[in-house]
Amino acid sequence: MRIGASLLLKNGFCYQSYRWQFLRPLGTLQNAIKILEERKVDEISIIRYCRGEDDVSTLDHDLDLITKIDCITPLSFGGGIRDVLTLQKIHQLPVERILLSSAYFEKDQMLIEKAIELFGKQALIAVLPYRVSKEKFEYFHCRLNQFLDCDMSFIDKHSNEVMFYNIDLEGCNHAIQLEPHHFPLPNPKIILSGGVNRTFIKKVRNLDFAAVSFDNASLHHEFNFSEL
Amino acid sequence: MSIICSNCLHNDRHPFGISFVDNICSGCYTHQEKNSLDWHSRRESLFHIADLAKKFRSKGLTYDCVIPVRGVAEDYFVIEQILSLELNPLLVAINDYFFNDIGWHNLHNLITIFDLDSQIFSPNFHEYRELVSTSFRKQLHILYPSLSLNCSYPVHVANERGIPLIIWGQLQPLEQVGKFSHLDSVEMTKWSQIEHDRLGYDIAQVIGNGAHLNPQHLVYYDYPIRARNLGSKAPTGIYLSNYLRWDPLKQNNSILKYGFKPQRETATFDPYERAGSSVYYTAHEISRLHRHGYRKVRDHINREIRHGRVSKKNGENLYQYYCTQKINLAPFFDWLDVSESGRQWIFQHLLGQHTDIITDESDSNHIQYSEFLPASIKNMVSTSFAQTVEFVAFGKGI
Amino acid sequence: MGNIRSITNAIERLGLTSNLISDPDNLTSDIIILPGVGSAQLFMHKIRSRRFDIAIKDHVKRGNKIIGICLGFQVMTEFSEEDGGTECLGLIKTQTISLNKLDRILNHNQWEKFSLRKDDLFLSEDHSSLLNQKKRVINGRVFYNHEYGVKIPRNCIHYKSINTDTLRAFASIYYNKNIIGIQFHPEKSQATGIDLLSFIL
Repeated sequence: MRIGASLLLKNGFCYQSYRWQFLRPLGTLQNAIKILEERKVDEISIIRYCRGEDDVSTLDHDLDLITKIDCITPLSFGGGIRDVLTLQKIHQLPVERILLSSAYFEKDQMLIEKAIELFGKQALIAVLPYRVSKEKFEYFHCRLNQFLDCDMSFIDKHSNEVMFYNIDLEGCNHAIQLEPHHFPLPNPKIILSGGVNRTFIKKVRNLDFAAVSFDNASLHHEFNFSEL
Repeated sequence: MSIICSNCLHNDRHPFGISFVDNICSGCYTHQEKNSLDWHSRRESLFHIADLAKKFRSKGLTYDCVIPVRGVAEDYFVIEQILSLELNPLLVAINDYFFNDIGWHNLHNLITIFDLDSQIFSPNFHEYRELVSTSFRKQLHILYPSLSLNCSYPVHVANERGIPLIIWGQLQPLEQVGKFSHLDSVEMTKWSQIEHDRLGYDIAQVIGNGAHLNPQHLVYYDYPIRARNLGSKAPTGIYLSNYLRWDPLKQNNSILKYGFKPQRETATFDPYERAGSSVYYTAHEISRLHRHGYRKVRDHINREIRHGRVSKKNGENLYQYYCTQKINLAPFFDWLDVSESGRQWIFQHLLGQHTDIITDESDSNHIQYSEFLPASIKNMVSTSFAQTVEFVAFGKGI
Repeated sequence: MGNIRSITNAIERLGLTSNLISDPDNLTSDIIILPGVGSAQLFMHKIRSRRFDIAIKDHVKRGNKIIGICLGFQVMTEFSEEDGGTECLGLIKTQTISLNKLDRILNHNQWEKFSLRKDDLFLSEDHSSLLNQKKRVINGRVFYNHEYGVKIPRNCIHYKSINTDTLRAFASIYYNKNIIGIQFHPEKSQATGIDLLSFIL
């Protein structure tokens, strides 16, 4: 099981997000990456904070920032990838995998196929922010800024892995998570994120998930990812 | 357009970063957490950490924790708390050559009154001064070398001696701007030191800016690469403010009984924070103003607003008052050995916009409180002393 | 191409320089690096349409070094099963097949242990610009992300297999004189990857 870290990027700066409601600044992207690498993180996901419509100048500024970073760890990037032009811009970056969310809700086949053509199917990760309400999964559509249903079989077929992002526990690394939910996809296809802490990792270690991803907490404490 | 917090005086420009929700800044938002946290159970967590550290002592080590100190009021409070946990600390201090007579008194008094072992490191003066000069010239930051040493050296000591715990006082990014939640229980990390204390760069980058120094001589200015294994863990650094409900003014006032001497300042009403420094409210103050656009007293005022001792309106008036207080840079330039033409160049090219508050005189004996300072605060800050000797080069005979 | 930037950054980290070329006539370096992200069919189509296949083969015939990374390694084989089947460059006498075929694994996206001695690389001429480096052994971990793998022929000494029980039939690295193929991503394998690049560049 890979152990990674997610970094939320907004206006060229990293932020921490708490329960999908409150942002706190974190620091510069390069510093965060440098330290995570030293601590032997398996992978880093850079997610642009993007709810509702995106802003092209902000996107270009963020892409420019990614161009300049020095990183020798597998990088995933996403947030606001909604057209082919953006995909082509990202293709020039030192990014291994692509995070798409709204495109899967909207079944944007053209965009997804272009992403496969440019990056390979093994590079595609579907991101599903979710919460559990009355034992039912509710998924958040970032572009429309609301909870909506999604076609899980479409997502399963057109992605390599799926990141289930728990928005209720996001940023709450102190929380004691109960057993992980029973997800609608097989565990080897799933990346768990939102409220991941070291205790949770011990619980899910033998459940055959593809990966877990720390959100805010990866930089709050000094630990080596390879020792988890 | 700049956002200003509706509760305190912070705007959206702070060196640690700041965010806003409904016009309330993250500092004020996070301060509210203090009202709902279970401080009893958080203190219990501290006992648990202390117990783990004591186990190392039982394995034959003399000290179970390091407390980095400067001799400031907060250090007295921290030690008082740590001793109540029955820990056996080693105090570690840096001689940054900026201590005045009050500073050396307070540090010496700290070590004596609590009767604790200590280690004081005096770096090579010429290398240190070269670093100060370079960091001032390039980043307009005179305290960068001091901060680097104060952050890193205790970690080196803990690492080299196999001491498992380092105990710091307040977590400034949380207390000032709510950069973290209390519940995150953020620890000391190399990332945090780079991001918050070192402006995002390490000492090698300072050298790269023109200082003629050998990096091998500056090991203690940087975080140790990887601490030796102590049960496969490097020393853990914790912040007491994550475990105790933190109220600096009240705490600092409570430790006067130990013989601590607060220092009277023109730049602020708070005589406790960084008392004993020849530069914190002079050269460092002007550099902060230049780099970040505000004076330190704003952090103090915001703190008191959040603790309910000052209204926002009074706080604005207080800030206006302290913004007009003058700063004398001459002693610092003398220490740095800056020529007259050099000083003129600095005033013209670096500090031109602040010449209205720069003076050649300092008179800390006739400091008056602002009329806007409430009585509740005046009572807690009324004891203070004027420095009589600056830049006391104790221990090196330079 | 996706990981080109990562590779050039890694090369610069070693204090070396690289040229990105889009015209086979500009292929004058001693070392070619074939990166690869995407799929075999599209990659080979692009190589052939720009006559890079001929230039690459000439480069190798002259004894110059070629390093293929991930898909770049796979297209150096004779044939790839990807996209229904694609004829490849034929520089390495084996085939690229789906991981699913032999070991029922759809996708290998993991860090695995990796070890190598510098002497194993059988370098006839050491092009390394780090000749005096003392490091002679790499022992660390490397990052894989692939759905197809290079099948190791029987009794072939030029391969090291992927260090996991389930994927031993597939190559992690191939080294034979001037041809080096790497299935993992050295440019994204942190210190271990940089060490390997310092050996082979």
